Amino acid sequence: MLVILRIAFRNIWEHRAKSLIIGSFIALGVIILLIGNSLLDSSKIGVQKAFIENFTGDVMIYGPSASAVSVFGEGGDQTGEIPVIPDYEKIQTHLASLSNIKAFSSMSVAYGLLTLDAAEEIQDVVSSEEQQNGPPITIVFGVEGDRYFSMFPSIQLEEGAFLKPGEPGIMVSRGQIEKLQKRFKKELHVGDKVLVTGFGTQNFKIRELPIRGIYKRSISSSLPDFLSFTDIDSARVLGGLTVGANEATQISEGQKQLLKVDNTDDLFSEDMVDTVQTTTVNLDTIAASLSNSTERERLNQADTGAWHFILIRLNNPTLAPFFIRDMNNWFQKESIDAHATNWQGAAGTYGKFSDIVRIVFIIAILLVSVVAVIIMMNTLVISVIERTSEIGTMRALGAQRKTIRQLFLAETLSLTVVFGFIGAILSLIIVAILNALHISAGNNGLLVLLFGGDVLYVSPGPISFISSVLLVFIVGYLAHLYPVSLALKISPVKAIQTD
Amino acid sequence: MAIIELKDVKKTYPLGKVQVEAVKGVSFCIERGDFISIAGPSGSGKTTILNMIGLIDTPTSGEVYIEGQPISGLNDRQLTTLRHDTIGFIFQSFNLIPVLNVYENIEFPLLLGKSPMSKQERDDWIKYLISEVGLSDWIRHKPNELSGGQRQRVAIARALVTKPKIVLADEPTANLDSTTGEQIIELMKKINREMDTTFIFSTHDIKIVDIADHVIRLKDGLVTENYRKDKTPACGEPATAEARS
Repeated sequence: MLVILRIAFRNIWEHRAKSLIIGSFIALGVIILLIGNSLLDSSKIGVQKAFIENFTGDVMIYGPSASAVSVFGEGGDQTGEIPVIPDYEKIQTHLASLSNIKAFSSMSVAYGLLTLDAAEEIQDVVSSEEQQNGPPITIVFGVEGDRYFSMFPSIQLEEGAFLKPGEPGIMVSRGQIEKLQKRFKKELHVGDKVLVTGFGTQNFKIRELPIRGIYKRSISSSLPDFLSFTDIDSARVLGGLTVGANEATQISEGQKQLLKVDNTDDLFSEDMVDTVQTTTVNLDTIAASLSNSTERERLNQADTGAWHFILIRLNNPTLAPFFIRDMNNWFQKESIDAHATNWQGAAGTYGKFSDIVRIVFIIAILLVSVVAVIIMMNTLVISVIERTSEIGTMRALGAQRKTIRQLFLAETLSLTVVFGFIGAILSLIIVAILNALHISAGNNGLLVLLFGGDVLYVSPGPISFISSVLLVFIVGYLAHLYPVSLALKISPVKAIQTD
Repeated sequence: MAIIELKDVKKTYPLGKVQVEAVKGVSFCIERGDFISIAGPSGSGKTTILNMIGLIDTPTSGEVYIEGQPISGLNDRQLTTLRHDTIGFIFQSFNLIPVLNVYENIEFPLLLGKSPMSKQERDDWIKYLISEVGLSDWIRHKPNELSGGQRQRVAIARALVTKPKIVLADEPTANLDSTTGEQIIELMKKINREMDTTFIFSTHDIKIVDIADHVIRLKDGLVTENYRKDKTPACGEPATAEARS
């Protein structure tokens, strides 16, 4: 074996040009793999930390839905409505009894449009450029006040105070405030009122809310700044979670028939006049009907039992998968149509970003690997052809086929080890340089997700290191198979025939 | 008993769509310790016969026996082992491993199989062979630092290192000047006498043929002459000494 290694190393040295070509591919492969994997790992860790500490907690519970629903309201059933958690009190009691929970808080979500009281002046003050950018849309998190904010300490006040339970109001981000000020050309301060137009699947709700606080985030300040926090009841009304919301949509058979009319002109046909002549409706009954505001009040009264999500922080976040499994088992046992998911499920598209990028990266790496295998293979085939006489001589002198196989394997793996090591050292140097440069993601949300934070920080972990080296070994091994099969076909007669 | 015996050996090669018969039914045998020349012009079948005796090629028909054992039916592994243990090769183009020095090239065949020698015995034996071929001052030199004659001396030492019963040399002097060629043949002859190793070499050089004890002449793939210099009958042949005196 020693002589095989000796020959392998000396051949590598003798054929320096070829070794360098193969070695460069190996080193480059290690650099791309190690830095790429490390960046993706750092990205995932960064995104995970940012989302757990800002939005999702370690575990999120959501209501009945065929597909996962994110904390931002993505997903859900086909109606587009975010499901409400059933048996909320029972779930809350159960959570309170669990010792491995550090904290939990419930919330609801709604989509809204932020404007000022003098909405009619918008057209005058908003520039045409800003109009093209669209209105200041916000995702409204209706939260439990102190309980929510103590669970997410990364949300820090710049002005004002945190929302208190039962106190109507809104907290907006610094970025959102600046956009509003720019849009409406008006200074905004804590105490000023804003109009929030909530748009649900069935109707619009408008609430005028005082600004209670302006917040910023201590982690990843470039994370979405379009989130606003309101008291839970305001969010429920804006999201359509009102008492009797379902009853209000009940209409009679006659009304349904009327809605089915295809041609609206038919509604004003001569037949209609005949019908009016026979009706008992008069002005008094209309006035009496309008004066009864019970139904309208019901529709503007928040359903105090309606929650979209329960966010949970665990004492030991690494045990989240087991906690989720246990919770889902408990839901099944108690016949509660609710689900628990991890931060990634709760983060929706954002959570899947690093996985999507990793899949794209893996596909790219596979393609590069195929090219690398082909180039390395061709170089080794040339080497075999050049060394036909040498291989034939060895066979004539009594070398078994396995000796020839071992010789080529030793050469390929020696190259892989040496240049893999060089690649790993270069990777660490490049990583150190990248980290020292403190490359900022700026306001580019995609870069923030890719970097896993505001600044690029790549941290090569042992798994990235091992997987990169392993893949390069596999590439090297695959690349040597065909040349070896050629070498093994070389007859000892070739030693005599070839000079 | 003959150490090598060929019985009606034929070898056909495909050349495009045509089958070329390089050896057309050759029979002879070789005694242990002989110094044999297989002579003949180019294309007479010398190398093909050497290849078959050396177990690096197989006959199309007929049989080759090594120490009485027929080689047909042996698989590649068995042939390789038999080749390693029984036969040493000296090639026309020396065929040294370029990345190994003189010592390592000679040592190489010993490392390919199981050797009964201890490390010290092995070292002593290699150094003895190096001194025998007169290369003690070149022991750490690579093949590209040696002359043609020196390279062939290394090849001779390498062929002998496993103490084979048979050494095959295919035109060992073809790439050497005449003086060096004669020196190489003399060296082979000396080792043949000292170690009782059977040497079989192919050549078309008349002067070198004359040094052999036993001459087998070939022409167009057939044996035309098979005689011993000492006028004793060649193995399997009637005495025809008067013709060669």
